[in-house]
Amino acid sequence: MDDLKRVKPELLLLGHPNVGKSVLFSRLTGVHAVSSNYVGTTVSYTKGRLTNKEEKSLEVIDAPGIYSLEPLDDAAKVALELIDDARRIVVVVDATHLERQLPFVIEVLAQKRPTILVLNMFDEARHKGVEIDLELLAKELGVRVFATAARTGEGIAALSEAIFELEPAPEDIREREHKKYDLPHPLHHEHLCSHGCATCTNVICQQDTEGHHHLNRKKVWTRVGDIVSRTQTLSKKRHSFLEVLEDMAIHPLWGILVSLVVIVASFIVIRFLGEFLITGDIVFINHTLANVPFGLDLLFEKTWTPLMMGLSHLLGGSGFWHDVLIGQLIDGEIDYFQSFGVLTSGPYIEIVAVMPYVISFYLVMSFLEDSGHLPRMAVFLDNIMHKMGLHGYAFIPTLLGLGCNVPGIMATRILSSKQERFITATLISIAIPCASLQAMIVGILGKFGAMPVIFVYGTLLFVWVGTGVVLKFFVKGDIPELMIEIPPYRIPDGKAMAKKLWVRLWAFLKEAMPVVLASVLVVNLLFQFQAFDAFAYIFSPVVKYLWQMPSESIVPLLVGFIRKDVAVGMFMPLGLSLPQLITGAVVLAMFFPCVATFAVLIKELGFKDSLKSLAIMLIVVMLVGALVAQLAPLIVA
Amino acid sequence: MKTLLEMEAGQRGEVSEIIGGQGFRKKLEALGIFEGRVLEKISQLKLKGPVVLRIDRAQVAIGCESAKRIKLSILE
Repeated sequence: MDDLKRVKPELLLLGHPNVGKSVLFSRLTGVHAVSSNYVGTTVSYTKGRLTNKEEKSLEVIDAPGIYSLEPLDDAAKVALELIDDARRIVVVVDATHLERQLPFVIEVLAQKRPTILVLNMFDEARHKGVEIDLELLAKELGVRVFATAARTGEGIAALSEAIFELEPAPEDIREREHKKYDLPHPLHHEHLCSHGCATCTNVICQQDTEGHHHLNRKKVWTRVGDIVSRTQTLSKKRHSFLEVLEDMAIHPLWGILVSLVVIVASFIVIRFLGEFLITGDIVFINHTLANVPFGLDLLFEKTWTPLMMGLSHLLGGSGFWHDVLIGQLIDGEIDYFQSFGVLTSGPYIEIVAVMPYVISFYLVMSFLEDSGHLPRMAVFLDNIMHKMGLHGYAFIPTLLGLGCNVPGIMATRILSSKQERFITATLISIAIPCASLQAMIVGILGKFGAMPVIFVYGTLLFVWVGTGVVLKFFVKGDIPELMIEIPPYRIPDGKAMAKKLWVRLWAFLKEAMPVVLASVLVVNLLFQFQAFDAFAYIFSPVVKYLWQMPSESIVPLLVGFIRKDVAVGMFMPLGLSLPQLITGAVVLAMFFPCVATFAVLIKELGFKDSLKSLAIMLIVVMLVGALVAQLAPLIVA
Repeated sequence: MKTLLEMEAGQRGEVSEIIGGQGFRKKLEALGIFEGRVLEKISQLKLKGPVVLRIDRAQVAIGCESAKRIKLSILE
């Protein structure tokens, strides 16, 4: 991922969202772009290199998926900037819905760059009974046309060869054109047919009062209808199972059922898989049916614990370095939840308690993304989210935030208005616990039964909705209405899912592990030098009287700024009561986002709006913390 | 003539009028909705939820306020 600066794409990939463009990109270049079956995954662009047999290579840029070259949102603006400098363009369409995609192709062709058209998902189109006459299509549009199936790799070799055969535009194409047409800003000529009307077959063009030539969109659609009627034949096949499901999923009543089944099933699978990876237990409705002796907890106990006990002996069982590295021994043993040493609780929290849930969450999330169900859920939640000043699509970044707040907040870029992005990002940072935090909450509170866990989640849901409803009255601007194309259901490709899971898991390990170890180290050092006593003293009125927790709990709350999962682990040695643990979990989820989230919040919202966001957070966490502290003892008693 | 909101699910109609400014029209045009286009309403979600319609074999969802501003003549 790169910030938008002046790049001159040697090859630019363009296309609607959700046409398999990112999969095609990774097929061509080997770099893995995260692709999903919903609108707006590539909010920034991705770079890679395409190399052929003669060792020649091209830089390939995967532009954000957009519906048209109308600069209606940031993604389209990014794409327009890229087109302006592009020396070659490959425009990708979904062959199953040619008539929906050709208007965009015509817009791109009107930009007069050396272009190749790719009909992707050609295998699926064939399967659905869609026949396309490639030669005739190429003749009608005046471009070379290739059919591919990016998921299987079909047609990729021929495409890559054709790309190298394409005569590129001169390197200074943008400057040449701007000089020629005397255009003030690159974005202003998005709909000009920059080489005069004669070359764009007139039928789709019109002149405005200033003499600029624009594409006439209605004429474009008519022309597309004409082309499609001659190049595409549909053999009427019986409604496939997925098509029946598609109609059911947007039915006012059946659709709610479908979405509920999906949500419940997702939770069950995440929990089942997460616990299976930790314990090796195969659980069915509270009964352990079998145990595979490869649970991460057991593996850790068998391999790491003896090593650490050895080190503990070596260090003499106590003392400064022992307490920092190994932590406190509980009854002469290492207790990973309480010892809190850099080499004991640090890796245990990350690898055994948190990683399994990160894996199971992202596996389920990838499935939901690639299946195409998320936009349907967004449609159903649209009316509820309107009460919060949002429209249904804001639900997708929020769901991503349940994995990690950072990509969630970054994904708010798919929302077109500023106030909507502010509300969505603020709500994510306050009320959406990340997978790491959830793993620890479920792990620790789950020991006391389902009630405390449900109470924590219920409270956060209430905060999410409640804060949204209140914010709606303070944030100016009207709510844009939902207006989206819903992608078809697809059976997710196992290989693509595995690849995506690996990318996300690796990012988690790479980013979380060093931070976790470092934060445990810093906290231990600060403890050794008793630096927290001052904090505890200053914050004790809030922590003690408002939230009914011992004043030392300010330490985990502050550590939450670095890692939320480590912070939950730090509640354990404090010997909190169950209501205090519940209050702690809720407050921790809300009280200051972790430092990575904070950074991305500033990047996405700007400094001023981030401060507003934090102010809102402080008010909400004070109130809710106090409320929970009063309610929790009643609920669990 | 009925608005998209008033139409029954299952009915087909030809768009006869779109009430709104340039921006609104352009967004709809990008989805292939403009005067003269034929589409089928397939679902109306409860509680002022969006309208889902079928156009060119694709499903498109449109918020109910916008749906009020699209008028169609019903085809039987």
